[in-house]
Amino acid sequence: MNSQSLRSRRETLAHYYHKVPATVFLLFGMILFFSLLSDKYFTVSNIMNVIVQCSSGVGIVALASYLAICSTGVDLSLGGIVSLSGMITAKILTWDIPLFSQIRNNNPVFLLLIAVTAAIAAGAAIGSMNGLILARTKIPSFIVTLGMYKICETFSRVIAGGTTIRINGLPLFEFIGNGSLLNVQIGRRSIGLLPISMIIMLLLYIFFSFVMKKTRFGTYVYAIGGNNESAALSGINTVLTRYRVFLYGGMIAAFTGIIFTSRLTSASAQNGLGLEFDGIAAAVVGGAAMSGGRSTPGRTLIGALIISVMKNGFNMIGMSNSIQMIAIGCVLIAVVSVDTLRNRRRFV
Amino acid sequence: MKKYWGLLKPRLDTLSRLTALAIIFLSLVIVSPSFASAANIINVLRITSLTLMMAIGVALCMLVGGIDLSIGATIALTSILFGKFFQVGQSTASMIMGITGMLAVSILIGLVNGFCIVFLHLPPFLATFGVQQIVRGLAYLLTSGLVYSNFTEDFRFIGGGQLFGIPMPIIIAVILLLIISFTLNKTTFGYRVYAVGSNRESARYSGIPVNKTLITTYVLSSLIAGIAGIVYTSRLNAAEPTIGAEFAQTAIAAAAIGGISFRGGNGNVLGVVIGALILTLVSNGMTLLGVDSNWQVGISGVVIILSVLVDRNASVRKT
Amino acid sequence: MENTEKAVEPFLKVQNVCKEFPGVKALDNVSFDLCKGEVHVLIGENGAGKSTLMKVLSGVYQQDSGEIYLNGKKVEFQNTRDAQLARIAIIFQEFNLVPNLTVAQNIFLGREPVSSRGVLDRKKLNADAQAILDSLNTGISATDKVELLGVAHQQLVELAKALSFDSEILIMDEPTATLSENEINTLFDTIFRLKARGVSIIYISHRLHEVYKIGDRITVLRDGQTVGTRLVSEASMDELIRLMVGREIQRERIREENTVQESMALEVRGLWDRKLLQDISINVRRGEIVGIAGLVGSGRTELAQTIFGIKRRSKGYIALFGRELEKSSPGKCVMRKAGFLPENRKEQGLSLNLPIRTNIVHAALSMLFPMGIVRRKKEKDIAENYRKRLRIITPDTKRNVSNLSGGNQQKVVLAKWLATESDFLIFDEPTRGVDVGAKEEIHFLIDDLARNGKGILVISSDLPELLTIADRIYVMREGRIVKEFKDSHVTQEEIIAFAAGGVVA
Repeated sequence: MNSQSLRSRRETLAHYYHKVPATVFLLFGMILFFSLLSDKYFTVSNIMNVIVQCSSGVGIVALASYLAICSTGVDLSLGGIVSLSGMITAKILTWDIPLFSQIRNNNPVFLLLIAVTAAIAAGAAIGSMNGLILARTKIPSFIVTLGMYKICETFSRVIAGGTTIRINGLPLFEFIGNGSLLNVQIGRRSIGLLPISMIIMLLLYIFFSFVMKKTRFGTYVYAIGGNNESAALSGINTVLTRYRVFLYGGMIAAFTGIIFTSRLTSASAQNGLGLEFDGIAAAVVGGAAMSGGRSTPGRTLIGALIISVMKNGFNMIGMSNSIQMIAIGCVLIAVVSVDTLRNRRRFV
Repeated sequence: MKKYWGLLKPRLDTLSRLTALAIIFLSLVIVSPSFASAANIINVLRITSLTLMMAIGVALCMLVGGIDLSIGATIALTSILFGKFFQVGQSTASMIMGITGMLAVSILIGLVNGFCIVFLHLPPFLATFGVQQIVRGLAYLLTSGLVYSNFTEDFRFIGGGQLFGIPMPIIIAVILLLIISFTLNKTTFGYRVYAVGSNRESARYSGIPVNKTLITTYVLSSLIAGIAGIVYTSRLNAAEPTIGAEFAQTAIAAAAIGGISFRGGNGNVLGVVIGALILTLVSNGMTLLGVDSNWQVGISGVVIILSVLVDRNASVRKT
Repeated sequence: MENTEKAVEPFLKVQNVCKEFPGVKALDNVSFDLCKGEVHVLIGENGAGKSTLMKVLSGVYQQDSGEIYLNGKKVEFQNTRDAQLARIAIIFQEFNLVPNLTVAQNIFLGREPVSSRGVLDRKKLNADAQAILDSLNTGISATDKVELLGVAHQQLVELAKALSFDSEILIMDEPTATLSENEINTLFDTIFRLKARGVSIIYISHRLHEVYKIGDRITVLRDGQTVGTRLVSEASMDELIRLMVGREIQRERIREENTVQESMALEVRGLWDRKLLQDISINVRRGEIVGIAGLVGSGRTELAQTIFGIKRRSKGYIALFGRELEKSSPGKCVMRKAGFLPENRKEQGLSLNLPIRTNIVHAALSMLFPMGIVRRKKEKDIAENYRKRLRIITPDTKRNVSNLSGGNQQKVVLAKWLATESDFLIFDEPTRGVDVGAKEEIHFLIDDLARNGKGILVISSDLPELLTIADRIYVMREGRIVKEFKDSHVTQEEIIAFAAGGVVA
């Protein structure tokens, strides 16, 4: 009797231990590491800074990367989508044609809505192009999304027309990337504890956590990532599922584009390019396996935070970009090695 | 008839690619009068030769079923290293030392890639991506913000000089191409590369040293990137850490257009040449036709997608 | 007697079903019936038609002629869905589970319960799954991930999945092939429980001793025909074996003179691996053909793989030609003049997208071209030589292997190993999926190799094949060598008795 209760307690403990991803410890370890090296690191203002950097950069893109990787693909077009959707937002907000000028003067909120909708629609369009090709053929996602990346970059550049589009006099739009709720006064500075971009990021993550956990679609993404053949045999529409993965990925990335543009109050074609690789790194550090079917949105967020903490932290301790890159590369390789070695031990 | 078809079928892909290349070439000749000039053709070939050097290395990795994302960073790092070495003496001796150093470091990077893939069992995409980060980080670290330039005349000859009226990069690319082509077609190592890429299990059962083959392939890819780095640095007459951010992508695109399959074991050197030529011709043609440079990137994207879409291997997925 | 006849009215009735594949009559007038709550065992050698019959019953294949009656009504299954709707479920040997999903998710994959708003009802999902699992008394938790379960539990999940369709007929194809003794007992308990619930079970097995534990009736298939149905309580082991094998087909023994030499080609002593193999000692002399018989899952292939260094041994001594092989690897074995023709041609034996001639030189690369430079002429000559010698039917050896038929592909694998001029060769199922003509050619070739002083180890499920060519036969069961027949004067019955566990070793 006694031994049984002991066993069950041990099992519960093990259960909880397994529920907490090892990456959480890595995240805290890193925060501790940087806090020890820099006094300014573990301050409210810097923590909020990291969070905003995350939510306007790698944070949301990582979610899209995770979706693609979970279904055994990879989406390299995400950076292009960020650039394009950000550019479209900026263009619509500043477009000097009578129709838009009029709306801008009369009803800026409506214009903002148009811009945001157009940006997300663009993301959806690119995503569904990816999805259409990838769901139907056996072409590796790498090459298709790479081509789509270039197409996005082009559209973005053409819309920009070789310059940076600046957005002035739209405080509501600036609020998306720079504003926050619950401002507190610390020292002489006012710090927002609930940045809008963070709220958007969290909402997206909560929504997709729900989708992955509580809908058939989520189950099917895991299923095709785990064993495509079995999934198809069970009557799952794998083509549609794969299509939706890339469609949603495009839409998610568009949010980053909007936030990015708002934060800088300007858009250039270079914005966001390269984020796709950060996103992959974050998703993978969070626990996604290239072979598919692993990790959750929550774990991906931890991965994205780790990447952001590293980027910010090395800056804070006065290390250059270079150390940052080296560290991210090392962490990536280390995390994945540990993962694969652990899995091999379990199955062999 | 059937007999000939059997022999022809495996070559159909190459043939159709050659046809596509010919069509692009001919239409450019017709549309743009300045295209067919000797100067422009040489220019196209010179640009192609750099793409080709990088694509050949990546193609090797793709032939064994992998990929190499680290070549751009390898070129940047080796380039910076050369700058460092060169600075020391500013002489021919330091140049030779620099070149040796470049090649040595590129081999080392290849070894790290191979180690991660073979012994840590990382997917090649992630392994070479991680290594890429580290290598580029090192490149930044070593420069500390400096740009090295103004190399000696002898060194600049490698990328900018001419031999018998032919630019050096072309000569180097052709030599490299011949060596790799020979290696793949006429050496046991080449046979092993195809065997491992085509069916790793079967290769293992045949007693082929799979791990050794994989590591050698990644080392070769990096070494070739190192050579490309020498040519590029010399041509640029400068070394900076930002070099080559898109090299890996371009190289992979050229290899994919050239019919190197991502699943391994399929494709040949000729295909890579065609792929690199198509990429360069398309962008060169657009420049000549006065197409807005902004559009050029996108059109190359369309070319990439179209070329893989028409590929025979892109069979339709069943539900 | 009449009473019992009435009580067990057939629930499923198969009448005169025929199914033909190109060149093979897989089912020839098969009749068979199944009562409610009955475990009906189907036995027969490989190729007797058991799997085909099951596939017809589960809608994978459609019969050419004959009828199937379910509950007295005639049914026709166009696909697996139809069979599912008729509440017939089949559990194949290889599982169709998604490893990273939970047990419950797997059981209801594609049929997840959702609330009115399209939200998954996890509670119901888990509860329903748990109910099924509990009814089987499995002790599996519905929320566990499948990849964390052992093979036996995964099988129970498959079983639960089948039951989730409210199946009334369960077909199980060799369910115990990969299970340990304990796991088998659990499975049997489950089967008894299902039986008590009125589920009818068709149980396919090779293992005769199992039949007595769980079967009610037993039907023997041979060469696509039903050769007899017996009540298990009335059937003796001898009779069953006799029915399975039929009258001794007088196969010409190919080997006339024994060419065995004194010197050892392979010697294995006390070989263990972590999973299956236990204390295996075998030897093969030069010029000798040694056969290994055993059921699927008995460890024959694993033994070969361990000798060849594809799988790791945990302990044991392996020597080739008298020299110890301390750490074996395929590369080392090839250097020591040993070769291995694997069971699964397409996955382990060939590079399908490469030319025939390239495949032929693959294993011998460093031997043929020690300088590392491949001479195309030599490659071609070697390929042409083997094309003629083995009669590989192809217009040109430059063509890709994927264009060849199964038999010819097997000959390419053979050529690959002959090209290494190995003195010791392991053949794993050398004639599986090969037509009769090619089969005989391969047998003659193996004999010829032995005459030339090479040591040969043949693994085969085809007993007549072993009896035709082997000089000596080891029988494996559950990872052990249970019997060695020192000469070829054995009958199939004797071998099966050992392999199936009818005789205590």
